[in-house]
Amino acid sequence: MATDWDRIVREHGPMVYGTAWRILGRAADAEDVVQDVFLQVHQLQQTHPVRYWVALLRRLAACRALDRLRQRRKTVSLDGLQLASTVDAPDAALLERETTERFREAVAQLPRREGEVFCLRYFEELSYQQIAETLSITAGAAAAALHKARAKLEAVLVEPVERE
Amino acid sequence: MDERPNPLEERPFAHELGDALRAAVGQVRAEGPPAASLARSLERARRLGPGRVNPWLRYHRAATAAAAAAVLMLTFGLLLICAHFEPAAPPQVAAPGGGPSPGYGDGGTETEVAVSVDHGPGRTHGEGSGYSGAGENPFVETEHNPVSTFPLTADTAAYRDVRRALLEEKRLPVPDSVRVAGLVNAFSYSYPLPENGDPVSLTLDLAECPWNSAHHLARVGLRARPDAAVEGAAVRVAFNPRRVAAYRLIGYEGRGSRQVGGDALGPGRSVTALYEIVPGKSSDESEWLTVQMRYRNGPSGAIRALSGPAVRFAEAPADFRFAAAAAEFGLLLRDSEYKGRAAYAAVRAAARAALGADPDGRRAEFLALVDAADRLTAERKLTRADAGRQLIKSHGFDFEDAVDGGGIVDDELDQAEAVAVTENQLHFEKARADGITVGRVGAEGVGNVGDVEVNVSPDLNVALA
Repeated sequence: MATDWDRIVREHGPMVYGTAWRILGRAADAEDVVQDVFLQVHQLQQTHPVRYWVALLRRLAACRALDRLRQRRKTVSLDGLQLASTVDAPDAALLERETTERFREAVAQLPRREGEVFCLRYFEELSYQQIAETLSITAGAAAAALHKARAKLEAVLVEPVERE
Repeated sequence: MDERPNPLEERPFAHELGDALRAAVGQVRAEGPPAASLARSLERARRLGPGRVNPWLRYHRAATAAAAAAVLMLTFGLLLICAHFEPAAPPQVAAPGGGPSPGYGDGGTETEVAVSVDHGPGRTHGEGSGYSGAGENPFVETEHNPVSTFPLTADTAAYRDVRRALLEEKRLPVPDSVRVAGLVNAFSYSYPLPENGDPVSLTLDLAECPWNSAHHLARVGLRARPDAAVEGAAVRVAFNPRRVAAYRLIGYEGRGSRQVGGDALGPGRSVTALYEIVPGKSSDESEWLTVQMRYRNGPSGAIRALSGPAVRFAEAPADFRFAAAAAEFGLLLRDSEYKGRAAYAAVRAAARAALGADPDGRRAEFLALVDAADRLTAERKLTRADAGRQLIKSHGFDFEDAVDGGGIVDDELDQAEAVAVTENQLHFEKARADGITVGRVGAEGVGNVGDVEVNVSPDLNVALA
């Protein structure tokens, strides 16, 4: 039904966008992810009744956004390096932006499950239980993945300069 | 990017993270989603669904909020109108059979001076401190409610507050804080002293209403005797339903037509009230209204009638014209729904032509206030339009299908802001030469888009201050 679809987009669209936006940090990428997610869900719901829209949409948003983040790493990393090196005196904002970019890059390098759990926990601020329901795993598995993700990211962020 | 203090210091689960990781996560969370991009995404996602896409649904939240507000306002308005038509106390003033005679409605006692109609959230008589956004007095249909009164205490802080805002703080006063009657009564007018032992003199005149040519403006001027204060005085204005279809007491926001128990008038003090009148259709030449003073400790004054045609505004007495200019200025500052075609240029011209002797120089100062308000209003309009242009230009986002007509107007910018209300948060955007900064205001709060202050009410209505 048209109204149902409108309602679903209206109610959950901002969440889908927000999830993608936080993972990707770029409006154009986030828009593409939202489009992908809703397209996929729209096709899915015609054959399978969807019971938990929030979980499904959030999971898809995180997965698609992380996919895209990984793709981006392959395609634009060289450009990014060049851009950074041409800047003579980066100001604080630029530095911050670079740090955030590097952080996202590190998240993209995490194994799929760890990346998803990390983003849902700290970007989306979900409880272990919510993460477990979203990804259809146990809370224990979520906690374990999260522990590994944190350790890897801490290591990358503490000595970022050595990574040339 | 965003220099404001980071409110994300104490996030849930933040304690699970080391310093570097916590900072990085905080940074990611601090960047709010760009509103226009979000709106675009939602619109595209919605189009995936079956059926026609109703453009209004794009702005469903905003439209819903606006509709709810409209319904509320309408309901409130109806309640007010009902309050008018069903006065709590039967009006002892109605002229049975509609036979107007001098003093129709006469016959009340001193304690029942006026029909008690409270026009909305009242504010106290207190001068100066605070205001409660009290509503303006509406037009009242004479047939249902022919008698009006007004307080004899002038709000002397009104002029000072407006003056401070415009000349010292260089800003427009908060619209609801402007008390129009206070502005009118901030100036001295040369009313005659009372004669024949009357405690108070009455001056009545009528001219075209300068901000609405279909209406008339009636002035009721009072002046107390110079030797002694007049205690327990009340004024009673009875409109003739055959000549006046409706009337509106200008100013006295929230105080008009309220039961007045009797005010004190200081020695020699004068009070000016202005009524905007919707003339009736009849060719009757009877009087427009009658005015009578009543006193708690003495006989009522004579009934005075205002009759004759309304003169052209330019032919009205200078004091009348100046009082009207002060009222028009107040309507503009309040952005009154009754301002009609009021304009600062007209206020300036009328006031300048009616300066008179101006012994205390206050009327000349008034001209400076008008100039300042005119300038500040023009600047604000420019800023709003610029902010709107920036928003649209920076995102190529088409707001025009959301509102009637084109062009960048306040409503359109409101709409643009309202689009950005998501998940109980207002996301507003500020375009800069070097890119876009995305800010965030909570469900209730104040932020800025460019130089425009954005207020978000608890029900997520967005207003530009």
